[in-house]
Formats: sequence, C-alpha cells, structure tokens
Amino acid sequence: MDGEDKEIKDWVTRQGSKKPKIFMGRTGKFKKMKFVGIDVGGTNTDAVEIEDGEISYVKTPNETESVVKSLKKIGRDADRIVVSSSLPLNVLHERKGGATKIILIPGPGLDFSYLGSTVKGYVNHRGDIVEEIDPDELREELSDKKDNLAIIGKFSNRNPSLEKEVYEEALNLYKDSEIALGEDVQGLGFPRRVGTTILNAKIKRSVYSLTKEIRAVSSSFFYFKGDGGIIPDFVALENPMELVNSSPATAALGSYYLTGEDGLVVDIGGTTTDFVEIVNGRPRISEYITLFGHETLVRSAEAWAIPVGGDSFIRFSEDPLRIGPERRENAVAFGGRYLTPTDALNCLGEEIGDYKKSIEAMKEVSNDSKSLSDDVIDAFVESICRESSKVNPSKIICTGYLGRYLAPMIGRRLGCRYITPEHAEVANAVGAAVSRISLALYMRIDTDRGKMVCNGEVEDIGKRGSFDPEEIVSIAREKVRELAMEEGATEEDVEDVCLTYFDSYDVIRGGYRNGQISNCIVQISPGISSEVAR
Amino acid sequence: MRTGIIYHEAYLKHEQSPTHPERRERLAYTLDQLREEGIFEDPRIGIIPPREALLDEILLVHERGYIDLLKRMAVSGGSIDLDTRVSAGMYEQMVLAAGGALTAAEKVFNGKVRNAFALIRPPGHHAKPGIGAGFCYLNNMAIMVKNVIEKDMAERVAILDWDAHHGDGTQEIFYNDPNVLYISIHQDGRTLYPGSGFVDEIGLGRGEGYNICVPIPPGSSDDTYRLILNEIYIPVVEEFKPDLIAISAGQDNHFTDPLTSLALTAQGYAQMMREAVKLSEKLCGERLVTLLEGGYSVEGGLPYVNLGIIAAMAGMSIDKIREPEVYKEVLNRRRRNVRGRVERTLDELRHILRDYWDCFR
Ligand SMILES: [Zn+2]
Repeated sequence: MDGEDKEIKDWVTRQGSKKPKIFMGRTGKFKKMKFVGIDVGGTNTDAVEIEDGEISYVKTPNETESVVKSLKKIGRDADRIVVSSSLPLNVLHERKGGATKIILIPGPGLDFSYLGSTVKGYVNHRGDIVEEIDPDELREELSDKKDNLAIIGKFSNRNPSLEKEVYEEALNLYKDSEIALGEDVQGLGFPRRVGTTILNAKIKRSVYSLTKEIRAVSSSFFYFKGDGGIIPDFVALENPMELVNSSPATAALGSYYLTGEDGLVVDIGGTTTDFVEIVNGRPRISEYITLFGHETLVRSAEAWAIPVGGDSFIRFSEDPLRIGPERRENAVAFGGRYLTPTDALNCLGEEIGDYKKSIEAMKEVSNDSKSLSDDVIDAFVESICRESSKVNPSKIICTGYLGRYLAPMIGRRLGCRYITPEHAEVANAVGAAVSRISLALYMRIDTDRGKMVCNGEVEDIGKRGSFDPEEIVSIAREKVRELAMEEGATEEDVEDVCLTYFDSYDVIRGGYRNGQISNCIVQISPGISSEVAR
Repeated sequence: MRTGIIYHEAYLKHEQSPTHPERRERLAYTLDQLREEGIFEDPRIGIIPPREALLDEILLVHERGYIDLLKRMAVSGGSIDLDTRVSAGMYEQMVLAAGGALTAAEKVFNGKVRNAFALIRPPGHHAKPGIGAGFCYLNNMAIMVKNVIEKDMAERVAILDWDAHHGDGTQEIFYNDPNVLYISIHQDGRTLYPGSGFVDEIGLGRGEGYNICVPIPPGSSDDTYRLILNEIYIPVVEEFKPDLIAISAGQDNHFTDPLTSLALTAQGYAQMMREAVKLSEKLCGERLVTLLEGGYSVEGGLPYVNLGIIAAMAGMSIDKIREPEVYKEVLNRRRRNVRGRVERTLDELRHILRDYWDCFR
C-alpha cells in the first residue's frame, strides 16, 4: 500500500463504524431493470434502488464507509450506478479545502498577477510554445509550499506541455491528488480557468477518496454532473468541479420524477438548503457559475444555496441567534454534541432520531426550551423564505430530510402551495437513479497529428484535410450516442444530443494551413430515463 | 460599461481567398486571444452587434453608380483591382462593416459607452467616392464621420489614421472640409502603396490646413510614433477641439507585418491608444471611436495589438502588453534609428502648417 492509499484508508477508518439505519419503502410500476442512485449529502448518504416498479432505499450516516455500506446493502447486480456527491461542495463551504498555491503561466496580455504567482513561459493561441519556463524561477516559486497546488497556463488546453513541466517539478513537493491543472478545464477564458482550477485543487483529494471508496465495491459507476449530465468516474477525476454542484440538478430531476410538477424545489439538507426551479420538467442551466468568489467555467443547473441546514451549528450567544454557516457534528438526536435545528424540531413535538436526547439537551441551554426552539425554527424558516421569495414561487416542492417537517411553515409564510412527495427525503438519490445516460463526450480532433481523443481514449484517424464544424459536431453526436447505447441507454433516450462547447482553429505555418484542431463537448440532453418513465 | 466592441460573426466570413492576406484568421486569432483573456466577460466591456448601413447613409460618401457596380459584382463576381475582388454575398458584408462603424458612433453619442472599437472587415480607408482599392470597398470611416456630422451629433471630428498605408480614400473625401481634421501617419509613399501622403498634401479651399500627412521611413518604431503624437497630433487636436476623436486603427505597422516595413510593437499601439483616450477625456467628453483598418500579419502580433488597444480604451493595465519573446529578433532586425529623418520631416511640416495652427508658430 503506497502512502497515499494508506492515507485514504486512514481517512475512511477514522470515520468510525456506526451501524447504518435502514428505511424501506415502495411505489410505482417499472420494467425489470435495476437502477441505483446514490446521493452523498452533508449528513447522510442515501442510496435508492429502483427495480420493477419499486423504490427502496438505505440511509446511512456519513460517519461510516457510507457509500460502500450502502452499495453492499442495495447496489448488488445493479444495471447502473449513478453517484451525486455534495462532499466536494461541502469541503468548499466549510473552507476545508486548504490553502492553495497558485502558479500562473500567463505570458503577455492583460495583467493577471493579482490572481496568483506568475512564472515565465507562454503558449500562444495556436498552441505553440513561444516562451520557455525558467526552472530556477519555478523552483523558487514552488518552495513556498501550501496544502495543494493549482497550475494554470494561458491557452493550456491548446498545449498542456508547460503546465506538465511545472507539474513534474511540483511532484517533488505535492502528491498527484493535490495538484490541479488548467488543461483539464475545457473552454477559453484564462481568468475563469484559473478560478475553476483553484477550486479543483481544493476538492480533488476528496473526490479521489470518494472514488477509491466506491471503486472498492463497484468496478464502474457514473458521477452526476452539475448540469445534469453523467460521466464515467475516471473522466470526472480530471475536472471534479463539474460534480461540485450536482445536488440541484438531482433534486430537480428527482422532484419532477416524484411529483410530475414544475415549481421551486427547496431541498433542505443537513448542511445546506438548496433552491432550484423546475421549468418544463428540467432545471435551467447556467453557462458559467461563480462559486465562493471564483468565476468558473463550470456549467450547472441554475440554483442557489444557503449554508443553513438541519445540522447547522447554532450560535445562541448572538442576538438574534444565528444558524450556521458551519456544521460541526450530527444533531444531538443522532449522537452529536451541539444543538441543531433538527433538535429544535424535536423540542416542538417531532420525533426525529433519538428525540428525547434533543429535548434534554435543549433544557440544559434554556429554562424555556420551547420558546428557544421556536426562535430557532423561526430563524431557520425565515432564512429559507427570504431566499425562496427571490423568485416569487407559486408552488414549492420541499425535499431533503427535513422537507416534510418544514414545508407547511414555509408554504404558509410565503403564501403559496407546497408539496412534499413521498420519498422526498431521498429525492436527490431518486434523481440520480432515474437519470437517463446523459453521457458527456469530450472530443478533440487534431488533423495534423491524425488523432481523435474521445473521453481520454486516443484513436487514429490518419492524416486528412480539415473538417467542417458541422461535420465535427455530427461525428461527436454519433459517437456519444454509440457510447451511451453501449452503456445500456435506450434509443429513445439518446435522441436529443446538445452541443455544450465548440472551438476550432487552423494551425497555419509559413502561410500554409497545416492542420486543424477542434475541441467539442456534446452531451445527451439530461432528463428522466425512458426506462423508468412515470 | 466603458468600452463597446462592435462585432458580428459575419466579419469572420469575409475572405477573398484562403491565401489572400486579408483573410479571416486575422480576426479569428484576435477573438481567441480576447476570449482567453476574459475580455468579453469584463464588466468594463460589452459586445455590441452592428446594424447594417442604409443606402442613404452610404450615399453621403459614395457615388450611386459605384454602389450599383458593387451590388452587381456581388452577384456575378468581379474585380475592382488585382488586390480587391468582389465575390458572391460580399455586398452584405461591406454594408455590415460600414454599419458597424455607424453603430460604434451611435453608442458613443447616445452615452451607452464612453468609447467603442469596431472590429469590422472588410477595411475601408483606401475606398474613394467612385471606386474601391487596396482591399477596401466602402470607406467605413468616411461614412461614419459624414453621418455623425450630417445628423448633428458632432460639428468637428479629428481622425487619426495610423495604418501603415496612407489613407488616400479618406483624405480625398475630406480634403476640402474644415470640420474634419485628417492626420495620417504612414510609411513613406515612395516605399509603399498607394504612393501618396506627402507633407505638402494639406487640404484645399476651406479645408486647407486640415489635412496633415506624416510620412515615416521604413524601420520606424514606437519612439517615432510617440514623437509624432507629442509634436504634431496632440497639439493640433487640442487646438482643433473636436467633438469626436476617431481612429483608423490599421495594424500593418506592426513589426511582423509581411507587407510593410514599419516596426511598431503591441506596447506601442497600446500607448498610442492611451494618449488618444486621454485626449478624448480632455477635449470631447471621452467620445472616441476606433475602426479596424488593414493589418495582415496572421503569424505574429495581431492578437496582442488588438488586446493592447482594447485594454487602453477600457482603462485596463497595459503593463504586460507585449509580443512573445520569440519575436524579439524579428523586431531587432526590422527596427532602425530614423530619429534624424523624422525630426527633419516634422520641422518641414511645422513650417508648412505654421499659417494654419498657432501651436506651430
Ligand atoms: Zn494598410
């Protein structure tokens, strides 16, 4: 076992071995296929299995090898496993991503020195190296070691050599899983590629660990992306920021599957509450989102979140008391030491987990524990309503594990209809399970070198002249359909393919067109699989 | 929003032939650079789509017979001269380029932006009322300026044409016009197309003194332009007090341009633009319109030149604007010490113009 593996093993073991709670339920009628959706939330890991018309699920507290345990319970001989994880997002929310050393290779242009440390070297718009790295300067710059490292060169996705050079040198100081490269982020826009890569550096490790954990029990699975697409796990490791905001899209798909209605989904989790609007059965997609002050090149369902959830730490000492932004432990009702909104609900008559413990603990804080709990829930509902009212919803669909307790209060305060569907507490996992194989394909065609790269696999196409853009896109569309069908998608599900990125440029030397390099991302349009259609 | 970039995808389509110097890589590479630098997402900058120029607006400059000829050739195909062919569908592109210039001026005058850069193709400054030439069909600059004055947006406009070639078309159109100051800095006509633009071409009739040609020798670089700006352009424009500063921003004076022999750098362009912006702040409420003209160096400097111009217009830092270091040798081979010759030209100019401008007395 190498050092890194041991570290991940240790990390997993440290999470303890509490016995998972198991809830089971059933509904609906479907074909006899078995689809598993896993949603790693801030507090629990939910695993949903949909087979022959039945939804059954396991909820496992995160303080165990939660995904592994869930999969052992539920994922046996599944036809497809799709994982959505809020783990990386929570790492960012709770500022546990560590300090990032940022090495930029910007060359000439605008002044980007405010974004990080600049070293010599430059790749131009055609992907030629026109300025070299200065190894001494680089070593000097790297010696200022931090927790992780982001390396971003201008036009690096047209030629990653300089980033690779920095990476090789950095391996003396950092592990591979602590280094993020700009080349893995598709799209032009250096400042946004910097932002995305910095965040990748902070979350890469957690996504690595999660992947290893799952791989131990399942040889292949998909990750659910923020824009509702799904990609094979190994593709996700390159640009994990694509996974970071997956929860809104799963919530939208899951809610729509469970209710068949458009509206504002309010997904109340343990660590955060997410908001996403469903229009015509789908979330809206934002091209480029800004996260934690970093502008990114990440596409994602249009959603917003507040760092307030059922397990949020409560600052009683502040006046008025404040909920969040961090989650310290489980609610007292689930063995934690600090009171949370979940415990306050128990003091008001709900019976969530070991509710008596909540009541005892609340009494220790206040003589009038009921009115204190009222204050907590009032503040909790108020912050949720403040966010909801930004879009003036006519209907809210409350999901997440506290959804059904809070929906009436939120609906009343907003004066709108509210729905809490059956299985609302695992809506996100349902969303992952019912997702069609909305596979994304990253394709690069280089006619000069006669190569085509599809999701990391290199194919020889032989020397040839340039392609029309339409031709490239149609090759990609066919290819992604083919791949999705190999993964088991039905013909009906692969009909609708969207183009999410295209960029093509001619390589001209000495006045002659030498070749053409095209980058293109296509994706089967996200939606609910025809195999589980309501 | 401070700076508008007028751009339309159709500007990429204009291509006389794949090997013609005025080909589309020119804009494509610039756009890639701008995208990579994040220019289009900067809050100081906005992309503005052009409108088409109306026939009446074009007819303020060009003769009806010539326009009819262009339209006919754009159906059947044809040639104005050896460098300037007309192919199918090209008329629409010309009208959209002229319209881009008009859009730039309108956005500046209605206060939507402080200044605007029209990234238009095909270029225009060699086009005359009755005939196109030198890759130019419609004179975008002249159409813009005539319309701005005709529509009472401005009374006086100062044009700086820093394209490597003398803008003989623009000069001819305003040669008698005292309300349009035309200053052209270009490679000496004895060494470059179109072979005109000498110091004694100062305008005619009421326009006498309002046409200034500054021919410069091959090898002229940043310091030459800086000298001319300080000694001629800035004092004359300050005295002229325009309502609008317009710039024919050719890029063929760059040291990598294959068709000319000048040696300006991206940093030089950025500094020139910064001076023009300062002047616009001082004299005319920041109103400044820049139009793309020639510039055919697809291999080297264009992306950095355009970036430098935009950065200067938008008030961004231009400290890191430069070409990649591999071009240093090209620059050193091309740059010459021309200071003495330029000083003599400037002395001659000041002498010729002393009756028209107080600053030269
Ligand atoms: Zn020119």
